Amino acid sequence: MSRGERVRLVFQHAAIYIAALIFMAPLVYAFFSALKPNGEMFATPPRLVGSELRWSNFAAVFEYGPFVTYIANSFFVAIAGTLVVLFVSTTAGYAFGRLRWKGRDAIFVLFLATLMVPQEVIVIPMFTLMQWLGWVDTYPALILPFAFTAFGTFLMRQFFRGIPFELDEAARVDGAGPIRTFVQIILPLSKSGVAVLSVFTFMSFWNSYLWPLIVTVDYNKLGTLPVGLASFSGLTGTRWDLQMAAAIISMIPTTILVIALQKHLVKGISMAGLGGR
Amino acid sequence: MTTTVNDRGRNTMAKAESRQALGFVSPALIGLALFTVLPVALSIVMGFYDWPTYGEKKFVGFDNYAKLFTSSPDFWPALRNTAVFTILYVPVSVILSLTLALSLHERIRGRAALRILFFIPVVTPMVANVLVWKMILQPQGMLNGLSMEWFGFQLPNFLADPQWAMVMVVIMSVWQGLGYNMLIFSAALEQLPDSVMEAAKLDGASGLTLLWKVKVPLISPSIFFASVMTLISSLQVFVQPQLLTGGGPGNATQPLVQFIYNQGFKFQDLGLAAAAGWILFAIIIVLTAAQFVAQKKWVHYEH
Amino acid sequence: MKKAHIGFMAVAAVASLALSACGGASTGGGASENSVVIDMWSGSEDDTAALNAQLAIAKEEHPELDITMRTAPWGDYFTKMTTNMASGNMACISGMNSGQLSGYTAGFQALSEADLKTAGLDAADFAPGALEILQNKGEMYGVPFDMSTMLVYYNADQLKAAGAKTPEIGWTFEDFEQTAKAATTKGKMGLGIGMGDFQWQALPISRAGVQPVTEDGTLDLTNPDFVKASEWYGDLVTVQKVAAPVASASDAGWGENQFSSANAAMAVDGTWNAVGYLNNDPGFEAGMAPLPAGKNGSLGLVLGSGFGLAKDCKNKDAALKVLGSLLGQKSQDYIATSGRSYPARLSSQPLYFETIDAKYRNQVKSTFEAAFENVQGQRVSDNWSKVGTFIQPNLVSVYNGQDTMAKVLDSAQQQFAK
Repeated sequence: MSRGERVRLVFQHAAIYIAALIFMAPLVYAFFSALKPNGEMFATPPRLVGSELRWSNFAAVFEYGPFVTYIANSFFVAIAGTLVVLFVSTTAGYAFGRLRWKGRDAIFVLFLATLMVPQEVIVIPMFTLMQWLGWVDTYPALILPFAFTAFGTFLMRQFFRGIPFELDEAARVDGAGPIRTFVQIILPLSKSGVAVLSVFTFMSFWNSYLWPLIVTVDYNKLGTLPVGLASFSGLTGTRWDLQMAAAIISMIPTTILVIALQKHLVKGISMAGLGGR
Repeated sequence: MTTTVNDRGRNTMAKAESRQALGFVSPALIGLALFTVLPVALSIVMGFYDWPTYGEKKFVGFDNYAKLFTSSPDFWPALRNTAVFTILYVPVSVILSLTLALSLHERIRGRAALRILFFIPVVTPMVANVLVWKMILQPQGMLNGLSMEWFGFQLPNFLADPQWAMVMVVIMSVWQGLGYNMLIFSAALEQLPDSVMEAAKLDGASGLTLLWKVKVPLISPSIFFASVMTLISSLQVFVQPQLLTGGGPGNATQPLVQFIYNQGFKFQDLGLAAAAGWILFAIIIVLTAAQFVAQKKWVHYEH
Repeated sequence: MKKAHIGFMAVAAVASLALSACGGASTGGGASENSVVIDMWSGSEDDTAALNAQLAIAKEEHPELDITMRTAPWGDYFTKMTTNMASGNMACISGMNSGQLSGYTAGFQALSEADLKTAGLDAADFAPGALEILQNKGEMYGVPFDMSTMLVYYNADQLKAAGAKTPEIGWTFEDFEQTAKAATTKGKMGLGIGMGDFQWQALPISRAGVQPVTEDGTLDLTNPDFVKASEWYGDLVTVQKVAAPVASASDAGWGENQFSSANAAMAVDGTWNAVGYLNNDPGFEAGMAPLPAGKNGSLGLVLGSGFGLAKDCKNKDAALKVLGSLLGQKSQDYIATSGRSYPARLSSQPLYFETIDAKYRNQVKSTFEAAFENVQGQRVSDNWSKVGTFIQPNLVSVYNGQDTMAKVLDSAQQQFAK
């Protein structure tokens, strides 16, 4: 490495770490806010650290409302939803990406078009539909309606297309049908793709707010975390301290998931052809 | 003779494959028909009705659409705000996240950790993000406090000023969503074949030339993908202004989806909300189609 | 593509058919004749426990009925009520708040004398004005379990340090201005300016002596007296500079937060927060006074929450009995003794003060009594929630000097008068 290159590298490190520091500032502020007494949240002049570090805020979150129920529901809904999405998206992605059939491309375009429908536009008809099905205030209503979005199918189709077609041919020669090819060859080669889809899906279920708000009637039974975060605002004001603490708690699972799947994430995105070529 | 047999064989095989494909695709098709196409169809119907939350529904033809364009005082501003947000947000977000992805090259120490760090706001609940940004931006907040202390300069009341409020919504959104596109670009860069890079270097390309003439064209498909998805999501922007500025001051930051939400859930005019939703949908379709047409000019696909 | 297009149209056609066929079919809450569902807002475990205590009373009084309760946080409750109403899914008994009623009257049954009798309630048992709380255009859509009005809360420590006069019963707007000015010092402000409908309108209404809606429910935002008083209110920020400008239109509780964070010495808020402010987090000495009096004395609105009966309810008689229990003596005594809010039943009211710390009891009691002497039922127009939704983000512009109060009120009047 030449001297000039080395100097440049040092500068690059400095620049990127400073950028990261600035970028992190709001998150650090959020963390310390979760440790403040409620009355100091809007104190002037603002201070990063309150008069005390009130760790008990985290415990108080669990005493304030049925927070354990919210967490359990969120986990159940996000995991079940992710499983449904994985099943539906991989099968459909396989059909669109690797099988030849009439009308495939036309239907695929239609699939993609549904990506553009804003959720806020269809929530009310969706709610009406839930009533016809008798699903209001049930787990299926929390899990299924947004488990069939085209995003997953699109992602998996892109991913499967990157796998050499010779593998299918070889499998066919061995007498394997599409189901066996799918389960024994395509899926095992798609771990990264499955990882990407899992993270994105889990994240969207975990943070989904508007739909659970509408379709859940009894929050004590079926409330999820984002809805639970809203319960700190009441008729008589907002418990900012607890809301911040609860928000910090609720970001832990997704952060862990992202860290755990970090490697697959980058690889998966690029192999899906979304990233690269 | 052989050809016919082969054809027949291929035909039956194709038929079998079609049948199997149907099996594979049907869960998704049924789900999408039930949970997307049906509600979408319902909402089209609603757009032609005077559809109050409660009481008589009345067919009114295109009245809702006419009302939006002629007599709804918030509709045009909402369209304008959505447009302004999109025009500011999409380029800034795409360019910044691309820069970030390029900067986090393999020689940077701790790049994996840095990537996760930049991704964290994406997974943080919006309520928390917004609350912190408010505390930073308000007149008694961190930013103005620092400015007063260091320069003795009074900053504007950012979220209450019609121009600044939108700028801040954009900045906060960029900060929040940066990690998402960064991840996509990082993935694309990771994928660049070493052979191509080596060849380019041997040709004497370096620094900015390498960047502009080689790297960027090579990952242009992913830039295209990210711009399309970012455009769609920015046309649907809702949560950030709803929580950060409440659409205000006045209606200076109220985007179309917030308008729809207000009409539907606050004013209980579901027909009008559905009609506005369809206008938004039309805009998204047209712009996305335009992007697909324009991509031929700049997206570099390797065959 | 063509095929897909046809398929799409077919689905749309089926959907619209299904719509016309099933449009009327709804479940109307409560499947069997003896089951009654109650919908209510509740944020914390405490709220839910208190509701359950009242539910237990209702169950005890009517063992033959199967009563269940569903809760949602305050902020989401009304969004959900919209969807529930839209889909005919409203619970037989639903909680309602006076400020929200006008948007939801269509879903509620107007209650008659006979209905009250079935419920076992007597209008005479309630505090004067209480039954106006859930009235709209002369019809009563619900019976309140609590009543409240707006007060001025103050930070006694801050006023003392600034040498400002303490607000007291019978004070006037001159006194108010003096206190606010004196308290604006050393980076602290005299007043936390209001953003919520009740919080910002309370002072203008008291000063003008009129409500911005006429008796028959017509919007009257351009009433000269009201406009003048509102301009005075906006000037507190822009001209007199005794209050800090609001930072964002999404800060619905701006003034109250400023007060409870000890940034402002006074704030206007409801009696519902009296106990909360007395036990505030920063630990300052808080006090309270009725709204100051204008030229025509002081005028406050009587507000509150209660329960109403859904129009679609299949078993109204059973539901009315439950309503009777929820608003009966026992339940009201419970609300009072738990100190949660000020009950609407006259005989239960004294119990409320007994729950308050002896140090503050007399002040709270005398302030409440004085404040409830000069109250009027809140008048609202049909689209009152639209008016509020329009005005709130525009108030930010007024407080920041980019728009004038008169213009905002005029524009709201133009838009929503019909």
